[in-house]
Amino acid sequence: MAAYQAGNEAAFAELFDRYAGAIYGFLVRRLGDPALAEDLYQEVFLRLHRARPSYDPGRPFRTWLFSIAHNLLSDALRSRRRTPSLTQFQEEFGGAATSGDKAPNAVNLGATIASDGASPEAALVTRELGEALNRALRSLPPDEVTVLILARLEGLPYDEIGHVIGRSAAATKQLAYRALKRVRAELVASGHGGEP
Amino acid sequence: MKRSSCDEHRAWLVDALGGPPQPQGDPTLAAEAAACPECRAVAGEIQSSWELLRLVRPLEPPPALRERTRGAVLALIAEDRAVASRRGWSSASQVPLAVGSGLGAAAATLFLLGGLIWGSHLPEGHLFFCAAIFTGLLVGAFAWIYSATTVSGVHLDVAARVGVLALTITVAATTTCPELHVLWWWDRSVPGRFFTTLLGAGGSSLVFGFTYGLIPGFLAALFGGRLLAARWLANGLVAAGVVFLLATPVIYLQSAPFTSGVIASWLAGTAAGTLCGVFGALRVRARVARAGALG
Repeated sequence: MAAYQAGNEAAFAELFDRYAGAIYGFLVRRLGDPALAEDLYQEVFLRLHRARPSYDPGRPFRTWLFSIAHNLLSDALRSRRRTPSLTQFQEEFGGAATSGDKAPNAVNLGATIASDGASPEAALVTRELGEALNRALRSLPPDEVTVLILARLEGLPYDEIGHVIGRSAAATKQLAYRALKRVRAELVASGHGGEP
Repeated sequence: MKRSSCDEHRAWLVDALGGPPQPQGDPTLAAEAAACPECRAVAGEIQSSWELLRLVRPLEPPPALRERTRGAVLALIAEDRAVASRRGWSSASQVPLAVGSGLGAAAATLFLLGGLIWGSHLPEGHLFFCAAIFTGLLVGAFAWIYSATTVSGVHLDVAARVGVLALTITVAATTTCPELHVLWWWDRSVPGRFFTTLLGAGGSSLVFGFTYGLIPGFLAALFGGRLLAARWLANGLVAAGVVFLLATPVIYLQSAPFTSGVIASWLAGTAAGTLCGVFGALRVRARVARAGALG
């Protein structure tokens, strides 16, 4: 990061390669709107570039980057005056659970459920499981989804996630706890209560 | 199991989610959890949800988006580098150069015009005040020159160059004047006496000031005014402003024996003369350029 702050293009390219996918996944999963996610995706890195002189080397870069993405996301959602949806998860796992047709610009994320080499029956089960997971995640408040994404998919520790969403580590753990309970309850209600 | 122990166990469960929750990792909590059906159920639910989320794979941005984003930031880095090179005067190497040039020019002007070489009769405070003003103005002017600063088509560097050139002409002319105070010399000259009789002391100093600004402004803009033709009004005003600003300390330096009214007339005349001189030179340059003699 120090080299990038000094204007080193190769240093930026390395950071970009490392976090390009993580930021994209975070935005798409939080927004559920691929078009808006793509707009914000570029803006995250532009904002990172503009803010780089203020980066504190004492803080983990990854946390700082997700903070930028989270703040940008919050601003965008506030400006749109709508509650963030998780329809992308619906599209991700098959798309027909509640609204029928898949959005034409939706990113097909069906393959993001690990089902490589599975039989057709197993693939169907996985698909149904994905739809149930979609519904479960859609039922979560935004901060709980953020905590789950950052903790489970990105592997951030709770104190760092707390920095991202502006809460204490204890409050973040509470969010994670509630989110996991809700996910489980939703899966049970939809008949997917067994072990994955 | 006590409620407080259940709460502790649940907090610990979430903590343990960095990897698979393993209640047996803490013997006390594990024993209490084993004895509490509710805690056992919660542990199972949390762990099950956690494991299920592991099935979701990372996403990658579309290649076009990825390249567009990377390219946008790399373009900004390149632009930052270009801007930084244009702002070279702020780098360590050019700031001392501008300060040194400003100090040197200010000292030379003061020694020549303040009579420090020939024996000054000016009050010390007067000299120091003038030195401070001169140094500040000249450091700024040299900073613009060295940085090649241009803002929205207005060439601040060229304006500063014209100003320094005009100051050099003024200092050279004033130094060759037989009197230490040029206005004294003017008042005793034939035209000076004529205008004093005609317009009074204030009017005479106004006419003198006009010439005082006109000739250096004209010559400096004529020979140093390259690039001022585009946006000629803005460029001409800025160049005339710099010429006038650099002339005012010279006037102030020589103002000690005169009344404030005379000095005000001198300044007003200089301002008008500078404007006429600079814009006159730009007009001449434009005509010559149209004739193909200048680029």
